Amino acid sequence: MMRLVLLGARLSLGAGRSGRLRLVLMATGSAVAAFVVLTALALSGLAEQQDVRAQRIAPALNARVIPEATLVGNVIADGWNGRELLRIVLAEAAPGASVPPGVERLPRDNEVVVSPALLELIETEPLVAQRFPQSVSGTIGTEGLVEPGQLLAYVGVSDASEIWQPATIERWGDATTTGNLDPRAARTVGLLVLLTLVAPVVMFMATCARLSATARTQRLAALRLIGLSPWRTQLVNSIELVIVGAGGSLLGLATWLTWRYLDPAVHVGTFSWYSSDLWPGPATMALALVALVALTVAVGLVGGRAGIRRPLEVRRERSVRAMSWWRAAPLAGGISLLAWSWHTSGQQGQFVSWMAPFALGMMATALGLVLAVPFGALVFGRALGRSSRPAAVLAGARLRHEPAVGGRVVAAMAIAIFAAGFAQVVLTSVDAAFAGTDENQVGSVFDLTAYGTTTDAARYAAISDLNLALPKLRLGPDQVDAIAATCVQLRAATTGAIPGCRDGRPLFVRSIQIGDSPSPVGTQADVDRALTLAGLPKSASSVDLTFPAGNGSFYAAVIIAPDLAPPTTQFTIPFPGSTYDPQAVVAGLAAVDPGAVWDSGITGVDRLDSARIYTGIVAVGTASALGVALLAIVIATLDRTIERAGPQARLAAIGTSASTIRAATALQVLPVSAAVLVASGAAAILGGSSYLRWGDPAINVPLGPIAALTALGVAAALLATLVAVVGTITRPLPHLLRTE
Amino acid sequence: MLRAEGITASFGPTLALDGVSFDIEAGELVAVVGRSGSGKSSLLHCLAGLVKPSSGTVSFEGQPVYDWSERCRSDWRLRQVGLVFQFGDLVPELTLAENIRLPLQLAGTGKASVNARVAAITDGLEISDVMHKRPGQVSGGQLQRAAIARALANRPSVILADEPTGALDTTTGQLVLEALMHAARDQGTAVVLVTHEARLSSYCDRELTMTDGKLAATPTVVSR
Ligand SMILES: Nc1ncnc2c1ncn2[C@@H]1O[C@H](COP(=O)(O)OP(=O)(O)O)[C@@H](O)[C@H]1O
Ligand SMILES: [Mg+2]
Repeated sequence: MMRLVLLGARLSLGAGRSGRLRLVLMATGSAVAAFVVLTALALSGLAEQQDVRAQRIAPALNARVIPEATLVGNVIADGWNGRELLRIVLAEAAPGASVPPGVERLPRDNEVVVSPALLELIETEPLVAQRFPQSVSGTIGTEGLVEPGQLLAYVGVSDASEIWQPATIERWGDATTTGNLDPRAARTVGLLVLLTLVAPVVMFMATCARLSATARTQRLAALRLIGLSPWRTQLVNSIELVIVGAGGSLLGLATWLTWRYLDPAVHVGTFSWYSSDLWPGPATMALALVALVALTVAVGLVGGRAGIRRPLEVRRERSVRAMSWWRAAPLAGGISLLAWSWHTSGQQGQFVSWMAPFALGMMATALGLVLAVPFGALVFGRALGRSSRPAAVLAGARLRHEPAVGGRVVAAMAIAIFAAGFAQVVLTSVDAAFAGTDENQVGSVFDLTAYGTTTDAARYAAISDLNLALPKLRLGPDQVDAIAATCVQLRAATTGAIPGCRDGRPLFVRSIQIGDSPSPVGTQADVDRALTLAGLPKSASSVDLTFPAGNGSFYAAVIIAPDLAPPTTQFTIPFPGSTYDPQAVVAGLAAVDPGAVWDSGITGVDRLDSARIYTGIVAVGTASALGVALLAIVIATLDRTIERAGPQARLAAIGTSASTIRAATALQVLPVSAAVLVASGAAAILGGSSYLRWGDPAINVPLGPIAALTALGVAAALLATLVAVVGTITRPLPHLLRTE
Repeated sequence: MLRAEGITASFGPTLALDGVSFDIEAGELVAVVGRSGSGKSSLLHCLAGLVKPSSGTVSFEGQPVYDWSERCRSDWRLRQVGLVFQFGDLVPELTLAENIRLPLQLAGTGKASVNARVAAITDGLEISDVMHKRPGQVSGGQLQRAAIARALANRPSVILADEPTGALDTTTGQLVLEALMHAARDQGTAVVLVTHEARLSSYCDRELTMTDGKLAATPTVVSR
């Protein structure tokens, strides 16, 4: 036993320069996989970690200001370019007020303490700087933020009277607060990322575990021939695999830990996190690493079977595989199932009859893509065999001889494209779900008692940064309290264009009772009637103004002209989300009507924020999956280049021209890879169509991104071909001519 | 000691062995000659427990080899059979020394006797000075001698050597033959030697000829 262990160790560690290079490549494979899996696992737990932070930071508010309060304040939500910008206004009411986490001392009157990300914005964006005329007295430390990119400000004022709706801040930390991620949705997204990643990572590991497959199979066969039993031979094999797998995984772990240490605050676009929140826990990590090693070993053991079962044939290179048609079955089956699920998805609500073929079809297609490569290699190899051109004959023979070898990487890439392509579909659908709130559509609803007059409207318009969009349209004499307008009309009514205004999309979302419809949701007829009463031609705008809501009825985009408003009216005042100052609005409102009561600040930013985070997680996952697949291509191409060197040198030795050897190499790599990669893109489109048709029929499959992914894959295949062709041995180098 | 009775083996349409019977006693040196493709290697593979004949039996000391489990057969090959293949059969990752020691170590032989035995064998075959090299770094002849050294290392009961002198010059070929004869005469090893060289087979106790998968005693007048 010990001898076998030592033998396994000896075989893996001291096998010459190219052997050691391969060992490093194999270990790199495990390392990259460990890194990616740890990140993915941690990402899915990130939401919870950020929740903990959010709870630690949130002020526990008591809606009334109590006499014994030491600190009063309010939280005002604001936004910048689709990101939430929280402004917490504070006034010290009595000595001994507690300081927010991460802040050294309470901001005094006219002081503001900001997060580093906000500070950067203030320094670079004049519009943001305008919102913070106070002097910046410090920055918020790590422990006082949910994520490094968070935009948070503590604004100091002299006393409670300067705060809109002041509340008592009893302490810092509120267990009822959650971060912007809905934990359930976050887990779903995390799971999606893991799934997106699992296939390519597994394929990648398999690729790396099977590196130098030919040499290793030969070695195992040699051991069998001396008289090592199959079991003991597999033991020797597995020792090597454990060394590679464990060594690589530990290397990956070390790299991951170093990365966490060196880069404590990670930003991926607007998505950011603290490395310390990226921690799946020791048990999960240990389990993941053990699973990776087990996977490496399993793949290597399965891969070593040929050398163990048929040592003689393997030693004499006699293993021409029989063509097995069943290899094509999973792909054909998967595609058929997906087509079937696409068909049933047309019948709304048939979840099971859609889901079953869909899920099965996705899995079968993924498996089929893996098997498609050797199958394609066999078919193509046969076809090439019929040619009389030497390059084609050589390539065909190689493909038939070892149909599975080059294919593993392509399979990894194919799976990555399939998964990433489908992730694009899901992303589009997530994006669409949040589309109601894109950055410039953020509105604020004010509840005004006894609104003023047009003069007041003019004063609103004078408020800095606030594009008050009040259409100067005449209403009819009747008791209609609403009017609808198109973007053109709105533009005419305001000082300039309203960014984000698009006809057919409500700029000001408000379900208002139009006319005398009993339903809170207006119908097309209601809108028409409102327009008629307002003296507006129906055709002019009615269609443009409506959009289909979930249940098929229509909401109207409604603006009330201030001078004709009834004494108590809800107004929706739109403004570009990125360029307004809530404090200025407060001041403006107070100036217009001190008695005004206004409701709810900015809306929708948090939803935007979660869309951003979901998008971020999925994007990171997709990018990692593709990155992993690309790495696999590079590593395996290098490996194949090393393995092909001997046979190529022998071809050169018998006088085969360099161009023939190169052409044979290219023919072995490119056509099958490209075909399978294109097929995986097409499969992603089919799967995506089925998914969208069932869940989100209004959305089209994002053909562009999927085509781009496929093109990336084909480009990678081209690159691999290029590497292989460049690395092709075209001279009979003496050291390569020796088999042993 | 090692006996084959009416063994038949075919690869697809090719009938490589056609009812071959063969036996060899301890200490005997038997040459098998025959044209290329006549089935000599196939016979050795069947005798070594590597290729199961479609009919007939191979038995070692009265026990049918193919009735044993794969594991027993492997162990038997490790301890009792020394194989020298026509094609390279050393583990490419190991040095010649390690390759030669490998069967001894796998069989659990003590370190001291391993070294002594390996030294004796390699001295006789004149490859001591290349022992630290890997198979890819030595000449074909050195490689073949290393393969023979490895087959001899475990002091097997049977040595099955497939054209072991194919790549050797006359003098070196003589070294190999002497090593094999030494094993047969002094250790009672049964040696089956597949060869083309009449010079070599003349040293053997018997010479058999393989023709189209059939084995027979060589007629007295050999016309090759
Ligand atoms: N694994 C195999 N697959 C197919 N044919 C084989 C195999 N091994 C041997 N043969 C065929 O069997 C016949 C005998 O081969 P072999 O025993 O190697 O001959 P020899 O060693 O006498 O040259 C030949 O025709 C050879 O082509
Ligand atoms: Mg032969």
